[in-house]
Amino acid sequence: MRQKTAISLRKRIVFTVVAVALAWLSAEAMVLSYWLGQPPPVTLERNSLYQAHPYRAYAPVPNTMNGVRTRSFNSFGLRGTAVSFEKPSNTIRIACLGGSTTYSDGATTDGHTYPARMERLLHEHYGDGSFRIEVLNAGVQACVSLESLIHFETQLLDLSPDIAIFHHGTNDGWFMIAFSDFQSDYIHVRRTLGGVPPKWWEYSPLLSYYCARRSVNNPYFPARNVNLNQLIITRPAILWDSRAGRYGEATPAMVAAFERNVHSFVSVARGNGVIPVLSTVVSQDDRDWAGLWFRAYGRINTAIRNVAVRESVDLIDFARLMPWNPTDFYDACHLKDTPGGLGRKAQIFAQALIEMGVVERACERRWEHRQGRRDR
Amino acid sequence: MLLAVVAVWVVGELVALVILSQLEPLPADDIARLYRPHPYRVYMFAARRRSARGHCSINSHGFRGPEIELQKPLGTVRIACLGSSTTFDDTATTDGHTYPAHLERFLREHYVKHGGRPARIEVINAGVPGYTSLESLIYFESKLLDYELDIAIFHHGLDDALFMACFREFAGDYVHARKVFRLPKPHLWERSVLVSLLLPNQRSIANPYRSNRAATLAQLTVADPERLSVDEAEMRRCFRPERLAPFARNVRNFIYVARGHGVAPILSTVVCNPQLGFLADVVGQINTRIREIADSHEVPCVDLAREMAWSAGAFVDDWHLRDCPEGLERKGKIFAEHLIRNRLVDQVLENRRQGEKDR
Repeated sequence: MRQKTAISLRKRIVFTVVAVALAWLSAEAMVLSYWLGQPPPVTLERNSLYQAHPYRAYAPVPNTMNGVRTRSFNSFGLRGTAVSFEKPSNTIRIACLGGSTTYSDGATTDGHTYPARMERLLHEHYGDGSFRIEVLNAGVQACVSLESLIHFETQLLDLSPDIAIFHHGTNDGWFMIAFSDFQSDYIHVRRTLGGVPPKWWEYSPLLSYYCARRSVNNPYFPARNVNLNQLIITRPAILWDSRAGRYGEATPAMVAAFERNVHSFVSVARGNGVIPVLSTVVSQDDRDWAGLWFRAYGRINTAIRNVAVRESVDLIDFARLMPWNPTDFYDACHLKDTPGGLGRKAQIFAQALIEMGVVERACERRWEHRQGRRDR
Repeated sequence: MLLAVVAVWVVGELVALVILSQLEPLPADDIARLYRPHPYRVYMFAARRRSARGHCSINSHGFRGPEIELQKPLGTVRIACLGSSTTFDDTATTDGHTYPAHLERFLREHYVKHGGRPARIEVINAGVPGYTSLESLIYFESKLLDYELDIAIFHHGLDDALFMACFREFAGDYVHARKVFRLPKPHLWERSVLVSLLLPNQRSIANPYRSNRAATLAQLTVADPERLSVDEAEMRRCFRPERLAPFARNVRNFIYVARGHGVAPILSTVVCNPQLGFLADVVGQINTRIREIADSHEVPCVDLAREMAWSAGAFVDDWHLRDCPEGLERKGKIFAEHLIRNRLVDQVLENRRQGEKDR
């Protein structure tokens, strides 16, 4: 009987390691060949309507349109049709600043946003032809009060608006309650637009195949369904995960930072001869989170009302005029593209401007300004 | 054999570490050490840092100088100095030699000698090298206002002049010149001290031991940093007077925001070497604009350009002052004298007393 040759332990270990490495390498090669057979990954930048901005974290790319041509940005990065840099002499220009609720996420075309609808309603009302009303949709998705303030100061003022509506609070509220390490300049949440570099293990085709399907910047298969927040928020996972246990009350210090921004907007607008108009925001009373959101928005709206009273600023109390309801809202804060949704919002804003005589005041100011110039 | 190679390598790394620690730190070493990206003002100071040369420290709030409280101590008059490198004062050999630190000292001495009021004056050095009027405006409204300021000094114009004169394209929000700050990660081999020492020209700006000698902050913050050194003829081709308008807008907005929040704004003109030629002309036009805004908005203006003409003895280069009595100390004195002469601190105290009475 032949005796079996004894294999030393060392050889067995070497053999096992080499076999595992070879198996791993062949698996990597197979998955890599699979990736190579797929269409090249569409880079996020190419697909995106937004670009990094040194002062606003991100900004719409001028003269772009989404794939299905329902949303477009003009040469100033404002949603809607082109406008001229120089304001035509007989025009009253109204700038609507805000986040996605001004941008009007639910609008199926640029003409269905609340600013576009408001423009039409104001045209109808002031239809004697003596002056034109032009409404600029300066809403930017996911934008907060500080970003709109900077947008106003650095770009919108140069377009010489006569009236500016500041409609903020929704995203500021998220920033207050979703992160425990709040900072008043929002750097606890916001980062300049850009992909997060892939983790080291994502360079493995095999691991990427199984584990990195939702990674934004995976070199083989970047997630197709990336939303803007994943590119501009430091820890997007926390923002959407109430179970992370980090949600907390909006404290007075947090609300004070928001109030500071609203106050600064009013000061800058008035200093530049623009009539400021403030507006409260609407949110769903979400009992799943023990009313956390609702209380935060309540405090934010109180802050807006306080600034309006203290500084004698025109206020559109949208939260009181159009409480949340499941018919007109398709989520916690966005309106549907229906006459009762965005149509009603535009009507409320237009009606408020008419009743408060804001357009007439803007006309008077223009007239006084021209008269002053002539006298000089 | 393998062990011997590893041992030699480790010894080599240690020797390299000793050699590098003995070398004089480079100014560029501070870039990765002190600065971090910011979504709204491009870059900011990292909290609680010290420069490689040890001459400057950043406190927990990101200001150069000693630690302060967010909440203003009772009875304190708090003054913020906004500006760029001419406020940050990189040439100051210690934090106590910057112009805001000198200003604080002069004001404290004055108010102690004259009746002992107010109890305390605190001057915040909110200067950040390379900042323009726009970044300081954003800094002011997004952070500095939280410090319950009484007075804010806005000392800008030189970096704005470069953005106006050096670039063919121009945008009112300065995006023609400014780019997003992204601190690069060091290459893998740069983790080795030995390789970093042996390949000095290959070191990146973010090398953990020693930066690239030629690295500058502008490389990370300016879209085309080469443009900052274009010749005079090119500047003449690029500059248009209408480029002054966004600067004036930023200055005015600073005034509106400051006044809206109950902070007394103070403007200041800037000084540069007249031999800079056309760039000096642009700075002159900027100073004229600052004076006009100060007049039309009834804002006090420290006319530094008139009170402290450029001289080789006081300035280390075209616009940075030396750390000497005729340099940074004199600048601190000019600002202090202006505040004292115009009773700006006294007004703050009077307003405060009036407010307390009304309550």
